[in-house]
This record gives sequence, structure tokens and C-alpha cells, in this order.
Amino acid sequence: MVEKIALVNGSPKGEKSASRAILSLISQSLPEEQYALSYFSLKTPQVDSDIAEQILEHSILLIAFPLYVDGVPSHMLRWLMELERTSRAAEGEKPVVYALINCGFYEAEQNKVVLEILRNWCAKSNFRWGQGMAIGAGGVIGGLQHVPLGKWPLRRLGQAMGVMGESIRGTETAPDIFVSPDFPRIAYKLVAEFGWRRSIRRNGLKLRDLHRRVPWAQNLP
Amino acid sequence: MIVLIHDLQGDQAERLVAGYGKDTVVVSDDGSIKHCLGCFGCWTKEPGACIIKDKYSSMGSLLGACRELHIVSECVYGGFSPFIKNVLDRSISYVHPDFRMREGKTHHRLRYDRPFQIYAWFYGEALTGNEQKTARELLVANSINMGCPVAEVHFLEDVAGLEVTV
Repeated sequence: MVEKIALVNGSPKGEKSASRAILSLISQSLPEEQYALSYFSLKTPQVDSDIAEQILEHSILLIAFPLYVDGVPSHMLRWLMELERTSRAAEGEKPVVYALINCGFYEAEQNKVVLEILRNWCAKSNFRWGQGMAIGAGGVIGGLQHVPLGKWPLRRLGQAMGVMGESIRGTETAPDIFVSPDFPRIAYKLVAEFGWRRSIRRNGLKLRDLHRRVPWAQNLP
Repeated sequence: MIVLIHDLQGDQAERLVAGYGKDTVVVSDDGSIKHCLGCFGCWTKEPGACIIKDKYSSMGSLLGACRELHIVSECVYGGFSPFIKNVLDRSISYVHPDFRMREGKTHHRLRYDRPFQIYAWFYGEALTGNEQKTARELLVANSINMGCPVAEVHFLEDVAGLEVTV
């Protein structure tokens, strides 16, 4: 029997996101003769109960999103709450959840709290937690789609995808995987900081504008 | 200055805000907030301000000017409610895009000199022990990222029991 898997992308950048690339990479572990994959891009906070119902028709959910301020991006949090409501209102089999979270920080461990948030969400929604994958320096992955998975600098990520792929194929609950980048921290810092300076110049600003301190002077609601 | 970010509505919001003085800027939910697009325009197009133009685009500079941040939020899965999280997502211009090591990990360099203290009140019925544990860990992570200490964390079953007098 073909197993139905929902690939859920919670990045507001949709197709251009690292989360989309990550979902494509994990899909490589799921042969199409055994798995029917459906893709959902949840880019905005406008939740749709029909889409939530469609997602919950799948027996396995693979959820990917970027870490925002140590947690779930706010628009995606609204979708998680809608999925919880939909699940509570319906009877029957509940899906197993696997999560792939990437952060802009070097250390994959900085995704630890968001994986706990997702576990708590699963408990409230009656979903079974499968496994989490925490990915450091996630921002680089979108630009490495020409690199075969398993080759530098996607060597450790390739190994992790292999481990999670096995968990998904067995619908097992397994310990979370923390994927550190293949390159040293200092290299990541230098490349990232060079990138910000290149962007600011391309936007017609001066390098010193990167450090701008803005005095607060606006009334808020 | 105190910045109060809350997700309460109606009488509950009024009662909460009544406990604060004139030195408080209240950030509340009028339904108009837009979500963060992850564009980093607040670092490279208009450094220090969100380029999405709504009432919440100056959150970074507001945090840079305050001495206390008070957050009153429903506890959702051990995190903030969508509105509070939306405000925080729109506040990342408070930090600088460059990296610095703090507590053994990379975090963003701070844009402003003066740190504020964080006070948080999480409310919600039947909060589990795991959710409370996660919420405490989340605040510690936020505190390290923003370079600001956590002064107080409270959990309430019923937000009607919340009284803050400043």
C-alpha cells in the first residue's frame, strides 16, 4: 500500500526557501513507488480549514520551517493551532510528525526549544511525535542545490537525512538529530558578515549604515 | 520607559493597561499586524526598522529605548501566542546581523548599548508541566539572543487574576 506523506513548508519564502530545499532532500529517501508525497506551502497567516483537513488526511507529516526568534514563525504558529483544532474535531487515525528546522545560527542546538514546542503541539493535537532534525547554518542550504547530498558541504546533512529517512520509512519515534555544518564556525561568520555588507552596498547604503541606531519616535497602537 | 506587549482584548486589556503609568508604551493587537517575511530588509535596506510599513515597523528601536519589556501572552505549546510572536518576529532589527559569541554559541551582535529587563506573564488553562518548562527555556534563549536578563516569569491559569502595578 502506498503511504501518504504531506510535505509542509512553513517558510514565508515558499519555493525560494531553505525549508523547500530541505523537504526536497528528505524526499530523496522516500521511493515514489511506496510513498505518495503532497506538498503544502503555508506562507501566510490566513489559515484555511480545508487545507488543514487535507494535510491531516496524510499518515505522515514532514514539517520544515526556519527558526524565528527561538520559535515557530508567527504565521506558521497560526497554522499549527488550526491543525490542532482540526485534529481535535475529527476522529480516526492521527499522523506521525517529523520536523526539520533550520536556523541561521551555526549551532544546530539552537533549535532545541522549538523542537520542544513542536512536541508540545503534537501532545495537544494527539499526533505522534516521530523525530526532529535541527540544522545549523540553514541559510546556506538553498544555495547548494547543485551539490549532491552526502558530498561536502552537505556531508553531515546527507548522513542525517539517511537516518531520518529510515525513521520515516519505519514510522518510528527516534531521538532528535542535530546537524552541525561541515565547515568551521569562523568561515560561516566571515561569509555571512561579508554577505550583509555586500547587500547593504547593493541597496545603495554605506557600510556604516549596518550599525545604525534608530531613535524611537513613533506611536504604536 | 516600559514596553508592554500583550494579547488581551476588551475589559481584560483595559484592566491590565490601567496598572501602568505614563512611562509605558503599550503594544496591543488591533488585528492589523503583518507577518515577518524573512527578507532581512531591517538589516540591509532600512537598518534598524522593519520595511513592512504598518504600526509595528519600529519595534526594534522601541526595544532599544526601553528599560523593561513586559510580555503578557497566552502560553501556546510552551511558546508565545501568535500575536506576541508576530511582534517579536518583527523586532529583530533590535539586534545587528553580525555574529558574536555569547554563552559559547553564536548570537547576533547587539545594536543598542542599553539592555532591558524581561518580565513575562504566561496564561492559559491546563498548561502542562512540559509547556511551562519549554516557556522558561524559551525565555532564557530569548534573553541570550537579545542580551537582556529575564527578571520575572509567571504562569497563570486565569488571566482575570493578573494584576500588574507599576
